[in-house]
Amino acid sequence: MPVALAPLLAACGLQATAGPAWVGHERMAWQMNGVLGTHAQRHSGGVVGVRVGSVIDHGIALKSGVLHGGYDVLAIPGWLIVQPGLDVGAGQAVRHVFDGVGAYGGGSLEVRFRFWTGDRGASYNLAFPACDIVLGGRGGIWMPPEHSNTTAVYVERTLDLGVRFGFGSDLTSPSQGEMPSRVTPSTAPGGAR
Amino acid sequence: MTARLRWLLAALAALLVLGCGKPEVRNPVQPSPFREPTDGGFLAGTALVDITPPLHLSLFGHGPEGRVATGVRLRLHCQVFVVSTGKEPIALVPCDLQSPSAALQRGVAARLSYYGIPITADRVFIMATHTHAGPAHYFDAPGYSGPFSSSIPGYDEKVKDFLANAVAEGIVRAFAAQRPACVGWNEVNLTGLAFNRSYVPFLANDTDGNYVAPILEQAHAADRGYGQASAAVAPGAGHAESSQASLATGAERAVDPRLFVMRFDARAAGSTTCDAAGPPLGVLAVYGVHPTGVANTNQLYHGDIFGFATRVATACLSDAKPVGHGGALSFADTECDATLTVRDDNVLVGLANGVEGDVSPNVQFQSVPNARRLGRRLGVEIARAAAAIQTLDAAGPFEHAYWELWFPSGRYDDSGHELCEVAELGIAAGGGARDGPTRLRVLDAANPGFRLKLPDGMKEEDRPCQGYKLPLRLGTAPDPQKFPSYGALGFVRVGRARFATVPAELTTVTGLRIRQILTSGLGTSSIALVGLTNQYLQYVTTKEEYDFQYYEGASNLYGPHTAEFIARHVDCLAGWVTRNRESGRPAADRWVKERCPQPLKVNELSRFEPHPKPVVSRMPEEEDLALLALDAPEVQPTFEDGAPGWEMTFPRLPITFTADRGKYRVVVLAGQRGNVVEDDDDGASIETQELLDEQRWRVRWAPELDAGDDICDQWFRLAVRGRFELESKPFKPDCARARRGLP
Repeated sequence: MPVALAPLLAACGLQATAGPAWVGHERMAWQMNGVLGTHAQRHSGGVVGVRVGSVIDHGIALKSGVLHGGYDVLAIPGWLIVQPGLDVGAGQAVRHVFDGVGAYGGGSLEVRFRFWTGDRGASYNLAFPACDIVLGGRGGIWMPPEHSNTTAVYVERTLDLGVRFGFGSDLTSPSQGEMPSRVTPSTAPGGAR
Repeated sequence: MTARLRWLLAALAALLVLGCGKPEVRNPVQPSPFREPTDGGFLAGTALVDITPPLHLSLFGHGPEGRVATGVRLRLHCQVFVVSTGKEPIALVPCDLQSPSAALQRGVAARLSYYGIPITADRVFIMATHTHAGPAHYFDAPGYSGPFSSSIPGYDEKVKDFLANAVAEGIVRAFAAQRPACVGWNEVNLTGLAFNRSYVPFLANDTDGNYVAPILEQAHAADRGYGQASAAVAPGAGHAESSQASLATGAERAVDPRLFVMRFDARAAGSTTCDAAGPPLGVLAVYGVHPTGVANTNQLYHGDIFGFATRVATACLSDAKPVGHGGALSFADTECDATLTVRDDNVLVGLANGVEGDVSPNVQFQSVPNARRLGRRLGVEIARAAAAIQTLDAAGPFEHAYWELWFPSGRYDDSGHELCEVAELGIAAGGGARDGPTRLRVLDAANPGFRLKLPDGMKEEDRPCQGYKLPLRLGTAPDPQKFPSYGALGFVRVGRARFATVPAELTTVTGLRIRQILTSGLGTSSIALVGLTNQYLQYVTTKEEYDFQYYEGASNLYGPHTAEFIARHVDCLAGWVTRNRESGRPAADRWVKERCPQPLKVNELSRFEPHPKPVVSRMPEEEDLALLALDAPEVQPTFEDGAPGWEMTFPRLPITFTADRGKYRVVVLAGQRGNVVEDDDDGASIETQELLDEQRWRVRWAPELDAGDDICDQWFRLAVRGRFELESKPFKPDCARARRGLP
């Protein structure tokens, strides 16, 4: 069963982070993010995902939804990943600074330390888990909608710390192996003897 | 309560606690002194053991492609040979299993200890025939019980106990049946029966040594001459041995063709005369080929080619007559066609597997008729080789050595080089062998030859331990306990007969190299190399073959130098045997300690720590089905798997019935009087199978039409005997129609 699902779920992860956020000149707020996104396996590569942002304030209130695109750089394969990325989304900033559903655009930088995985070193792994500690920072601007109470643009900055549970499979990853050109008895080593 | 009473109660409670904590085999007793009267000559006892389990266990050998057993084609047997010279008996036990397991060997030894039989684990040699149609679930190593090991994986203590009980009971019977015996030995070449399925890696081997070079040369010569020979032989010119030889391809030459046969004849106590007087007591043969004549879609228990071969050889020899003076026997080839119920009082023929790692059966396609044809030929050749033995010995050397080696990080040379610390399979193993491919072959990576990409010019010492192997994994990092950590080398000599055993499948050249070492160590090349004994460490290839990462190389668990590790220790064992004989054990122990990488523990047992995972319950419990009286069913002609047959169906029986011949057997009755002409254990291919709806059973009889044409003019009935009695309506085989392949 895990193998049958492997191609569908391969190189996906679920990430939960939390940290302080600042919007404009408002005081700091605690925010929490959930991310469902892809990650690079074996080789550095592009990733996509969606992020849901919320604010922690006498409970958790959903505030925004963001599409995320980035590039995983496998700084130390199997151990350390650095990911710069871009975000486009909609919703509200972590502080109520405008009315209505605003638009968001920004960038992010994330560092992930893979503290546990079933897959270090060269192998062909049909399905394996991975757990990362995530440290990141984001910055972007919120644009209020038309007819909002303000027309000002707000800068939002956040720091994030959290964990990521990932799942990988070599069924969908670039291979670490090769099929040498087909050998026949006459071309095999020793065949000429 | 008085103090005395309190003490008494406490003592009783302690006894109760101890009693509850006892293992299943309780009160192992010290072996009783061996009191068999002896004249100093050989003693031998034989016993046939039926190890056919109940239905619904997974079949083992084809990984996840293997099916769950829904029936029986040939009953699974172990043939037990207990041999001694009056003390320290050994048990040689070829079994219709895919491979042995340490849990099984230790389980058998524990039972023997319980029964007071003086055969310890180091004297039990369970030699799997490697049929891929035997049960799973008795392996203590998680790699053979976990995901992908079989279609419904898991370790079941009851399956292990079922097998261990059966084998132990057989050894007890053979031990008790020991009688003065003569022992003979023969070795013949048998070609055309097999081919090398990994021919390209085979050709990559260095032409080292006296054994490897000629076979490589033969293979090359055959490849060069194949086209010319094909053209030179006129169509239909046929089957002369010379024509066959010249038509052999290089791959057919690239195998070890040796068939070894040890024969036991009964003799009078005190007599040293070994002239043949009738059929032998038993024959133990060794030949190397995968018993994979039937494809991995099979759902029935059977011994495949080896199962057919032992039955045919039994039939050949059961009526053998002495030829003049000496040990030679003769039998008519027609005897080999005779069907005969395999029983304890027949000649017991056992067949262990030899150097077969890269050797497949030479069939055009896998099918029951083809497996039976090959088995027939092998069986006849075994019987001929046994019958041809002129000289048997009443007494002679009797030696035994057993050395459990620790493989993880095992040193294989004097420079301190070591095997890999953790056993791993390569991805190319996931696709299965040529005669048992799996669905993973849709992935390019799971095909023979796919290997780790290493930087050009990378030095050997910089490579990962597993070299070109791209390890196949699932989930977390490799588990050091997934595959067995130790395996035993063994050596047995009974007169002229010599067996060296290894716990793995050796490729042809690995086997030849080990034979070369044994030859120089023991002074003779006539040594049967038996694989798959007492433990299963999968394949052992040469370094050259390993680097190709074909199926065998990818299944070489401890890395590219495993063959060197085994060869080195075989060399040590041969040296120990020689010095033990010449100078005694202390000198032999000293010699090995000075020369060999691992601490010497010849004839001692390692600590056995099983880690089976997952543990399941697959062994069916006894069912309580009402057995109804039924009307006689009709028999219908069928054509399946390339063979015509006749079948009847009836409501299902308890699936545990197949494990007990007292409860269930099928026979074919002929004529008005209903004489039993065939039995479901005689190799005539009477199959019992549960049908898909699990509500009915089917019995199918698929005789060889060319072997007994008289069946075409007779009336028959199929009958079930045992706890449930049933006879079909009479039917007359329409042979002409059947031969045309029409049902």
